[in-house]
Amino acid sequence: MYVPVKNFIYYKTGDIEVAEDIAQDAFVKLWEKKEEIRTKSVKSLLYTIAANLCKNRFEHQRVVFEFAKNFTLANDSASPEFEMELKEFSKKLEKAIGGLNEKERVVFLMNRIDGLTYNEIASNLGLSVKAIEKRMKKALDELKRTVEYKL
Amino acid sequence: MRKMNKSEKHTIDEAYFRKLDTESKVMEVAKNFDTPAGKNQDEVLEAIMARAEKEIPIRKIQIFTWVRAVAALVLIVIGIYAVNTVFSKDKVATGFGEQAELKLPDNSEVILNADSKLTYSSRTYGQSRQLKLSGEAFLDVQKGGEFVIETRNGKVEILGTQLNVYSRGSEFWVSCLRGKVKVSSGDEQQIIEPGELVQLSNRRLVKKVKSDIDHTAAWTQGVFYFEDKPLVSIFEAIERQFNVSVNYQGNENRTITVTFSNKNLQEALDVICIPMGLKYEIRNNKVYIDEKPS
Repeated sequence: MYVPVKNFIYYKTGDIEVAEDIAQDAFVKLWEKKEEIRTKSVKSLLYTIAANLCKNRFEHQRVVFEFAKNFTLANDSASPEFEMELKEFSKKLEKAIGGLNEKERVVFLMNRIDGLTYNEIASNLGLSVKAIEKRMKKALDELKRTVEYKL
Repeated sequence: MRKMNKSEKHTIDEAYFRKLDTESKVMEVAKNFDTPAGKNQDEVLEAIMARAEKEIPIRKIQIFTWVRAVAALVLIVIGIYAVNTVFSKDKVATGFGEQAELKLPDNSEVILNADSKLTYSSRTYGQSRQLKLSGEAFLDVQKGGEFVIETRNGKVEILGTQLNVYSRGSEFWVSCLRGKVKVSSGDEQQIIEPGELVQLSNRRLVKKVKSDIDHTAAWTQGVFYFEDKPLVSIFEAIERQFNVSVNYQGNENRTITVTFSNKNLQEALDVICIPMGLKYEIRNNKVYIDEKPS
């Protein structure tokens, strides 16, 4: 549970150290709020606590992401041009992700990086699946627009 | 919760990738992103315990049974240890469009430029003055023993007083305004004196004499000098100083010499774009830059 919550805050802030701090705080706060657990799922309570801690700390205007990249190219057939192209594309995408609206970014990255389904995201954040679908679509549209923005 | 094995590398096939539309490319590439590696599990656990220790109010101890009290005592011991080791670091960080001024325990002064981070341990600072920096900082160091700044690109040892350190990405340079500075990176080592600048280029530290060394620290007054720098570095500086995002798809490696102040975004964009034959458009905190149609 620690890693997904940490990631969640990272998607909001783009700062891994802040994300670690807040995720740890959230677990401490969870202990203090253990009475509430009966009414809400532990998971969604944890996300709510983390989101509130994050809100208290600062309003983020613009964030910068530097993701670790997990892909390799399909062996020898890959041309250096394609490698360059892929690198360029990743860079552009990272930048575009930083420019997204926070709510849309969080949903997009929870789905893409953590591999969570819309259902799982909805229950973690206490939102409807419809709302998640909407945010995901908006995120995609915006990313497409920014990435395609050319001369 | 479904867990993907993130350590596993995915392969992307060129022919397949080229066939995809932008949307699918976005989905495919983003799937292979991962968050930066963090602390290991043990450290996290210790940190959580240390915080639980600090934040749970003492009066709760009354309702603890003696077994819990013993457990709490163990927590205290671990907590104190963790607080001493993990949390003795002081950290100052600036966001986009921010600068920070701070005084170190020995009264040395530091001015941090936007999007920069400085860490030091106040516990050991008295014995050895050691800082970690990413980004850019101007320092006015008090006389005393060793003073060392570590950056990702190299180490800066200060033998005298005023200097500017820049370490972002793989770009690294240090300028000396007063006193003497020793810079090392890898096996390379250089000592610079007032009016000199040392720059990392192709893993070598190159020393240059500058008649206008003050310009390297002009940002502390809100003025930015760029001499023969690629557009990409300048746009990144614009992003940091004005807290905007810059979109430019043209040749980012063209170089330019330019001066601007952080007071007015449009003026800054004008002095960059007009001589380079570019036009710009600002739409809700995003700057779009284009080649001017000839």
